[in-house]
Amino acid sequence: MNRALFKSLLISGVREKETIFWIFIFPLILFTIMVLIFSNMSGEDLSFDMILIDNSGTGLGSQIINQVVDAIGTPSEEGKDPLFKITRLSDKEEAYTLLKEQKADIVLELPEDFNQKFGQVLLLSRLGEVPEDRKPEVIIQKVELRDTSSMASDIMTQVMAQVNLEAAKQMNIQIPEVEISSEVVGQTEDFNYADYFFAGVLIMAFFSTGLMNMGINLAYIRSKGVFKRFACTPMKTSQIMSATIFSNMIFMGIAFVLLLIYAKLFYGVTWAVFQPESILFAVMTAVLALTFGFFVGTVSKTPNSASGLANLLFFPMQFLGGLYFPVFDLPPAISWFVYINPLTYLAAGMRKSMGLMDAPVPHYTLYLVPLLWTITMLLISLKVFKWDGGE
Amino acid sequence: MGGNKMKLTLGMLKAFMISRIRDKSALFWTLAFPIMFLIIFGLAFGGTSTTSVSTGTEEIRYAILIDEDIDASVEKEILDASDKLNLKPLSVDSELNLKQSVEYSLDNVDFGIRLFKVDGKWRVKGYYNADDVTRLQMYEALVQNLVTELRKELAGFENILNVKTVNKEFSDEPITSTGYIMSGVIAVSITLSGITALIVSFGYYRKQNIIKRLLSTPLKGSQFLAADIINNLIISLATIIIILIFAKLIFSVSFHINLLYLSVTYFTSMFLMMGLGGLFLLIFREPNAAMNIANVFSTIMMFFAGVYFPLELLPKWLQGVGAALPMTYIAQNIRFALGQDYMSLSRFWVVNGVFALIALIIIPVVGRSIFNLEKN
Repeated sequence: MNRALFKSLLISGVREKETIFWIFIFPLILFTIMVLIFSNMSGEDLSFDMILIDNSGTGLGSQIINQVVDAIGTPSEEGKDPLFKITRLSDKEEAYTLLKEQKADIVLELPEDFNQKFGQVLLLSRLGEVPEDRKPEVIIQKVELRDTSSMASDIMTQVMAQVNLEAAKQMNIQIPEVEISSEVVGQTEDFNYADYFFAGVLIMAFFSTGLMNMGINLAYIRSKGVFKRFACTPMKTSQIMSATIFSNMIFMGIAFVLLLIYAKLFYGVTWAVFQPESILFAVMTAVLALTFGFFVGTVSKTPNSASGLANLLFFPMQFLGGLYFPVFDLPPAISWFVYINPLTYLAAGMRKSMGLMDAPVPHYTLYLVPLLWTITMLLISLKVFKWDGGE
Repeated sequence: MGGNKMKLTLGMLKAFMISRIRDKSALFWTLAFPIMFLIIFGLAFGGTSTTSVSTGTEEIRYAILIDEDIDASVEKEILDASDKLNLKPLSVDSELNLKQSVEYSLDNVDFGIRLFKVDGKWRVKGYYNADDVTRLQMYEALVQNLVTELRKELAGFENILNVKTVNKEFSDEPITSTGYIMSGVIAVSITLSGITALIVSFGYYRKQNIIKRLLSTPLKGSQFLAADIINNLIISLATIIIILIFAKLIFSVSFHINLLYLSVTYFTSMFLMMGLGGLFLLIFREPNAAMNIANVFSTIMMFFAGVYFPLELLPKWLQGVGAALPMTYIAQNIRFALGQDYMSLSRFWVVNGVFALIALIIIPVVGRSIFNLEKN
């Protein structure tokens, strides 16, 4: 490798504001966004707008429902919004209009015969089974496609289920208590979102460097005839290529260090990424990214077409590679891409080696698939490579 | 005279359009990116809900392990409880099998439960797949509901109170989640097209001295600006039409276009985004810097605009971020204009009015500033 050329490529790359932004700064921004969103997605600040239409008059049934509604309409802590902000209306059309205009998430309706049926069912239930059509009914109106409306409806359904259980207790029916616990499988106790997204964003940064930086720059160099001019010098083509490759690897190294320092300082990412196998996956990612960059730079005649091709490849590969969200349970129409995408295996492999979660594919495939892609892209690129591009 | 002016503007417009079509990178972001976005997210998330247990009629499967010390008759109660919730239990014989079923989604299992007793008291442990982090809350709610039904079955208690859930539809056409995603994709497309428009024309062209050369011709700055804006409007509109065609062909999305509302939304949104892009250029001067900031802003908007997941799952302060971003409102307006959802007319006009006002202020200021810089 020619040291002067390597140094010149390194300095010119670092001077490019585009390089600094997309390779060094954008991964930090993306990492911040992803960790902020997913580590805070607890729903603790959930609050819905509900309209209550009570046309049932006075009675035990509506009294119980109203008590429950008042309870859920009271904030659990001072200064916090209650789970449901209640608006009481008597006009159905007005309520539906508010629901339509997204000023309410659900409408809870007690029909006119609610109290009458409630009284009857309390009596009849002591005698035997009560027909369904004689049971009082609470109606929840929702707009299914609105996520908040669906969530509000589900929560209200659970609340009503608890009302049933309370009614059972009132009727001296012994309902067994059940304690519920939970476990998330496929992830370790040490799982944390900072580490999870560190792996994903690191792979994105490496691939961005290889595919975009190397790919587009290679196309630019070819189109400007730079290689031809180098051919007039004593410099060998292998020296030129190795200088290009190593300068990009240095950029990847810088991106890695910057991301690590940032993630460690502000998000407490662990040292898990330094597990030997994890480092190996990072190196494999770097090599794969460079071969993809080589491919893009080889087949594209101009930097502009290289940019288009790089984006065309990069976008689906990163979104369907498990870098930002799990992809192994996607529908068959799209899961085929997941399983041929080398980034899927690299992301799964890195996270597995960091001790975060198991990879739902055989271990050997974590190495085999990226390796096959690397060899294939390299062979194709070497076959079609020309030293000059051109408009 | 007027004819000459029109001829100059149209000539400039033609030049812009040819330049855009030749620019493969710009073509990707304008055309290919939104379509890929639609296909990927439509196939990945269309027809599935990450938040609701009651959306969709698909049966949900779960693995169940019943401890040996529990009476076999409990199976009937479990089946009855599952039936009421449209759940299908698949029996496993060990905790290892249970965990593996959930982890590897064997037999399309979405979650698992283990039913056991400790000191005579019932316990249920839910097992969830780490890969399904966005649906975790939904599966936890399902387990909660299943346990409630099971408790009633064990006690032989029938509900005294029924809950009837009614889905209110306010549109003439059936709405699907892919249709919802499509509206989000259109909002993203408008944002990306608009926000980069003036940065390219005023930023990059200025850097290449193209504006300076053009201003030495009879072409006026306003004609240049008009041609550029019309070019971006035409290209973006073509993209939206292609997205709608793809959505219809691939996903059979139904939509009812209200031409007036769609036109108003389209123009005000595009102008707003153009204005924002121009503002970035005024602040950062260097077109590369302005473009980078525009891309970061767009990325943040995509995540916080409620397009990928409901903002309500985030803490209040993060929800506030989404509420301050224009893409949130663009997506809502597009849904309304395509008959995918409803909003009050007053809200629609107020939002678009604000968009138009901001654009009307910013765009002329940007144009004048750039042209003055060139003249000086």
